[in-house]
Amino acid sequence: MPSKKVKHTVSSSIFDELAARNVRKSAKNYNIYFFTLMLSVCLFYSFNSVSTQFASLGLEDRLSYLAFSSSILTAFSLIVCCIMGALVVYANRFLLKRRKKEMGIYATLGMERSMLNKLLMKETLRIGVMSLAAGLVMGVFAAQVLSLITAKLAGLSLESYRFMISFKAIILSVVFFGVLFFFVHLFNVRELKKMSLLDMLYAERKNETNQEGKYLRKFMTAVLAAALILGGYAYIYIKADQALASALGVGGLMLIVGTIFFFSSALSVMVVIMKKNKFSYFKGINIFTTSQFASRIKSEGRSGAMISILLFLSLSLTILGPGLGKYVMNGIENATPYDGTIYYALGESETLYSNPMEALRNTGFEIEDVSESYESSWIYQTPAVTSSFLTGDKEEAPDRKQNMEDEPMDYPLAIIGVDDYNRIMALQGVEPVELENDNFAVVYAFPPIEEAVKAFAKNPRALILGERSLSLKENGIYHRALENKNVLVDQGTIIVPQELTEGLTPRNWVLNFNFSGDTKTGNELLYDKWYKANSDSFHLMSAEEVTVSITADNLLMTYLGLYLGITFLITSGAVLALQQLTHSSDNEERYGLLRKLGVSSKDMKRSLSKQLRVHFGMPMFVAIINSAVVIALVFRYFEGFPIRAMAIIIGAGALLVGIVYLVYFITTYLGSRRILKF
Amino acid sequence: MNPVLKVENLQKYYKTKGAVTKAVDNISFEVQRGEYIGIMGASGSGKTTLLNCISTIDHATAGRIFINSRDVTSLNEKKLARFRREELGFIFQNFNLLDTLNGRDNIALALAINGVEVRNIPRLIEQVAADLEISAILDKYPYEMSGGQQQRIACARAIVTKPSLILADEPTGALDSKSAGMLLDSLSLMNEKKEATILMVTHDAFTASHCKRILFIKDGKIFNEIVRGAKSRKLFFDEIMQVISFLGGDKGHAF
Repeated sequence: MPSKKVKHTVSSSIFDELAARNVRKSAKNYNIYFFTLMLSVCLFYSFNSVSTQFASLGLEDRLSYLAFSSSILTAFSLIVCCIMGALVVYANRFLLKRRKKEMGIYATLGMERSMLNKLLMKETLRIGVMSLAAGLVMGVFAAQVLSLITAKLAGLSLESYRFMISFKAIILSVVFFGVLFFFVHLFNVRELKKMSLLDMLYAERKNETNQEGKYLRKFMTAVLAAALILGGYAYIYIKADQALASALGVGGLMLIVGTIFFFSSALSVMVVIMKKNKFSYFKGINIFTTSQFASRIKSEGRSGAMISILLFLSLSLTILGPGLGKYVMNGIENATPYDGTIYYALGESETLYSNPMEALRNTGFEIEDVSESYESSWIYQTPAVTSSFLTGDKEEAPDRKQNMEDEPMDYPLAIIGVDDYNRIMALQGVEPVELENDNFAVVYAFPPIEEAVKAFAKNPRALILGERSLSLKENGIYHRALENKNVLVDQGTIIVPQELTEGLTPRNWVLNFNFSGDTKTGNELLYDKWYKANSDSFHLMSAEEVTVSITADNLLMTYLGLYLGITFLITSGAVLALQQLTHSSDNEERYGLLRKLGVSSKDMKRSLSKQLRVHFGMPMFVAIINSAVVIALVFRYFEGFPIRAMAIIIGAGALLVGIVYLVYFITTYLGSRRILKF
Repeated sequence: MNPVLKVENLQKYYKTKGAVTKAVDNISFEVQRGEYIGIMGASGSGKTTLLNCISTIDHATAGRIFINSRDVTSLNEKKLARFRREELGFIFQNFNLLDTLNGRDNIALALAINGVEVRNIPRLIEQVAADLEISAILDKYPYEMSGGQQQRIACARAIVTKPSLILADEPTGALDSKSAGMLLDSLSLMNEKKEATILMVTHDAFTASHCKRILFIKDGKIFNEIVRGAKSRKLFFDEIMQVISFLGGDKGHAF
């Protein structure tokens, strides 16, 4: 035979064809894997195109707040990519193991390892290119939807919206996923190397050894699991106030160990219960269903716990991310009462300017250049009046102080003279406050302090300043902002008769102003002048900057939560779906036997659906409980956060996770039915 | 002329939890070109292990195997792959066709792996299909074929590269008697017309009666050897049955 002497110059066409067909076959049986790959590319593109979205929405980003947010997202893409990489490698190894026999056939036909590796590389390349292309197309459209959400979060109109494609994100996706698929190939080669030919050809799918007879131990494990999980919750709740880090560390560890114990015992306990109930055990094909559970007791323990932890991360992040985002926005309507505020804060080393206005002028910045309407004011403080005066939580304070020594909770309160107050309020067009000589009033800007202030109004205390004792003016609580601020928290400010301020320590000085002309040119002029001046001791907070920085924070929290949350979600969904699908194809024979025994497909469908419901349901159930505890714990610290907003965020997050999970469940059910042919 | 296959003092031991199982215990024999040899034995007698060692799927513990005067026990993996595709053809009990490829492409793959030029491939396939009378099913996919049809495609795949030795592991094991008959006819045809050397492992006396020579294996050792010679197949079959009943001793259902 002449070909025996021929050096290896195989035309690769038949191998190309073979690779194509192999991919098509895998795609048919494991479409969920390709769907997940596509989804991850789509996710990756969408969240990396955020900066292009800002541009397309015409969002001004003079101080690079948004750029910062979007580069954080890109940085986190590295983590996302690692998670995706782990998923893809896992899934690929999984699929490769199922192709052992096929690999064995190639080897008996005399394919060398290098040829086999090349064939696998062709397949990986094909899968990679296909999922990358499809994912990018999907991503381009998903990014448009994301821009609409961005616009809504940033409170922008859609006037300047245009269809956008981010080439930076495309290049990033191609590079990241290119590297990922390269690693997948390396893993494939390694995996293949580990298989011997005998393994490939004759390795039958091994059944798990049944672990009957150890039920007492399993029950003990179950009890221990419950004790650990409940103990973990209790520990976190009780200790969280004193030492958050150690509470989360120890409590979290208890939760994780408890979860693992739970999954290593749950199926056994369930099987025992199902067997004990003789009436239902012998009904229909429940015997079969029970044995199906019993046969997977071992593997379920490990993977169930892992999936449950992933789902827990997913649920918590999808809810806490937008929750935090919304929380930093809470009270935004009071964040920018003026077009701009210039601060002069008194640090310890800085000299006190008796006339900050003059000092500001000396830096080279003339406020008259940008504004005709401006007002300045000193704000004072005294050690005698601290935040506990308003909040009244003296008894809690020392307890916290012990553990947060660097950060005492009892700050001196800000105090402002009534005339100063009225002057800067006039700039907002607010009516002046009249204050009697022995009265004081309280003004606050942001929701976190609201409840405390309202409680104070119901039960006011006298304010002692030196010799004078002041009482709260009737209805003397105002919800107003004194300045532009980008952290929406305040302790409340006390308004006192003007002459009393002379005995107090100056705390800081604010200069509030509104532009004379329109905002856009006003801002341009302002920043131009500001950067030319040598104004190191002063800080500028323009309305534009406040809005952009808060929006950037909001977007970052929301998107980061969603990005990571969805990543964990599709990871757990895909792992679970692949496991169940392969389990189904392992069980083809068992179901075939049932059919021969005359079991109707209706009964088999019911049994399958019951098995899948348990395998999908259990990790989700545990994840929901765990994340509910953590979310409640975090939301407890969101003071002044409206319940309605909380409910919407929890509802939306849960809905999103629920729907995607359901899609994985349904696809798995339908896929299993196709594999089992009923 | 050198024998196609020469097995010398072959041993294969398995260690399982301290106990050593001698699956193949010092077996030696030769197969000449053009032979059609059967290996018979009860399940667990070591016949499949012997075949796996010869077919380079498994490694022998000791002893040597020469195929076409080359010691396969000393070949490295890369050389083994080349050796397999050039010198061996495989026929398995469960066919082992690739279900992503139709009959034609399954055969073509073996040629392509062997580096046959693409323009020669269709001609070689048509020829082997005509010889084995499988032209009609060439374009079907494995799942559209009966077991017998799949096995005959597998035969075509095994012989199309003109290997020195064709190894068949229970080729009729998964077939009904009619398909088995057709397959055995194909194998005989390959042996007689195409001068293929065939080594077949089976525990079925009827299947074995198509061979020209039969080795009986018991507990990893060669127990007996019979040659068909000029005997009719019926007579040969009776002779096989006699050896079997002798082999099984008082256990009537040894096979």
